[in-house]
Amino acid sequence: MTTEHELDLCFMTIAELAPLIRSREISPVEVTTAMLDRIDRHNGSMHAYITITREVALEQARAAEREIAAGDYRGPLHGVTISLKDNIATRGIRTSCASMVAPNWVPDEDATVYARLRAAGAILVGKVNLFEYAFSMNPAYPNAVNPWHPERTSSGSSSGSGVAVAAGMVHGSIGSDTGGSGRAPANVNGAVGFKATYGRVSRRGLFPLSYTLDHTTMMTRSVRDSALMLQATAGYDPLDENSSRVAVPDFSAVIGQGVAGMRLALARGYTHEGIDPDVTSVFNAAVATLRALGAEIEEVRLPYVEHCAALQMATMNPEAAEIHHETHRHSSDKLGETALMRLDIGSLVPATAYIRAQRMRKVMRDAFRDLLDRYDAIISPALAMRPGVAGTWTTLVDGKDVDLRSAGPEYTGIYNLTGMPALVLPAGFSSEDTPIGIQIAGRWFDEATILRIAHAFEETSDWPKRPPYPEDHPRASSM
Amino acid sequence: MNLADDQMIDRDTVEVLARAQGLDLPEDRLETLARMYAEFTIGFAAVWEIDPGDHEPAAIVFDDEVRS
Repeated sequence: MTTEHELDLCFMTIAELAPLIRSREISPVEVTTAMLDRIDRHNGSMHAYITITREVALEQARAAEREIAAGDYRGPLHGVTISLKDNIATRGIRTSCASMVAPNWVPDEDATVYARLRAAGAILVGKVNLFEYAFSMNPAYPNAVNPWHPERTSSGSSSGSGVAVAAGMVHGSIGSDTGGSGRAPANVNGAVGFKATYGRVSRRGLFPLSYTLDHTTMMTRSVRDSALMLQATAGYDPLDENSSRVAVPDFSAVIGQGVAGMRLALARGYTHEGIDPDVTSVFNAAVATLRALGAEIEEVRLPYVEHCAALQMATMNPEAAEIHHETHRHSSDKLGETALMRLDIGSLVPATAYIRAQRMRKVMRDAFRDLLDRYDAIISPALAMRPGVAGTWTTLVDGKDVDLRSAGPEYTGIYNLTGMPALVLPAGFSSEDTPIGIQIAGRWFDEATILRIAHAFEETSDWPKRPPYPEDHPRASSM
Repeated sequence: MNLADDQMIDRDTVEVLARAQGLDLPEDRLETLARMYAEFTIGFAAVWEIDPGDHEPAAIVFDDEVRS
């Protein structure tokens, strides 16, 4: 029987939990035990985790408890639980990539992002579910279940991160994002998903999907928590060839300063067509909220957004095909249908198109730099549509079937192409009671401004603290 | 560049291209690949029309984007 106190421990934000751990009102072992018990109880139905690291977690929790008791408090992540997408290397712990190619791979070193979280005192409770190699649903692994509507998709590829965070099965999670993989699951599961600037957070130890598009991302239950996790993981890593040497600021420094007087560009995609009416309604309400908070908002057309899908296809698929070259040819029977489809087309994209795509990304960078000379940030829907049917790639938009694989890049993938930071946070619900988020993107390495805007918006909402599943909690007051 | 229908690459041509890449694909994957290749070619045609100026295809490094 779960007590209300145990539930509270699991659903607290990191920012709420940290001072209680620091003051020793709550112990890391108590928190970790409550979280592990909850995971054990519900993972069979939610499929958020591929591997649960109970022994590792309890050992880390006991160590944290000793350290804090001895006066060695490391900071707000000390003693709180985290999970890692299972394409992030963990020394001595299976890292499956949700694939049947090497389902029992045990890395011999930790990813930098995990090493940094460990240095901050965070406790690993498990490795979470994902799409196969971060780009394809794999029938060999059950899909993670959306805690708001089990018959609707939990999206991907960081599905386990989104579900675990939203369902109170971890305090914070690390995912990855190549075209929206860290933000789309935040959108449909009701979490905060943040992709910092390319190069800001090390990709060392993240099994690559696309070298130039991959980002390591934060998944949390609040904007402030996102800042805390980014603080612990950001910064130059000599082991990541594209890691940035830009200085790491205090990401929480401007949280709470509001948005009055800020200039925001409003982007609805390159057409207004194909957007679900529920998405439009939630987005319009969010825009009204930000205006009421004092932001100046003007509608803009994002530069080159209409080419985003083609550029994403010309970049991600060839890079993935190169990474999986041997597996594609010699172990294709172990790959899922969509993975094969993407590797097939990636093998045939001409080198000339790949090169032109990389040149175009710099053209886009210049155009966005000009745009952001005039605006502090860009706000948009996170995705055009409500979550589709679980286990499928389609959803209905205005009564028409839309293939989710071709509908995402316009909203999320454009910021992988440009490397700009972008955050998705909950904003409302669809008529099916599934979460709908908004996206805030900004200048390279100015994550703090995005967090400031997102926090100001978050402060206005009464987002329900707990989703209805896995338990059947009464819904909190409507948005 | 605009692709007329007769410039679209057909299934047999895609099979040859795939074989050149060392891929011996079953029929269902060939059909899917032919469709995707056509979609890609059409979508990317508009990209070819944009002049990328002096930009070279070196890896993007964003350090120079930091504002004071």
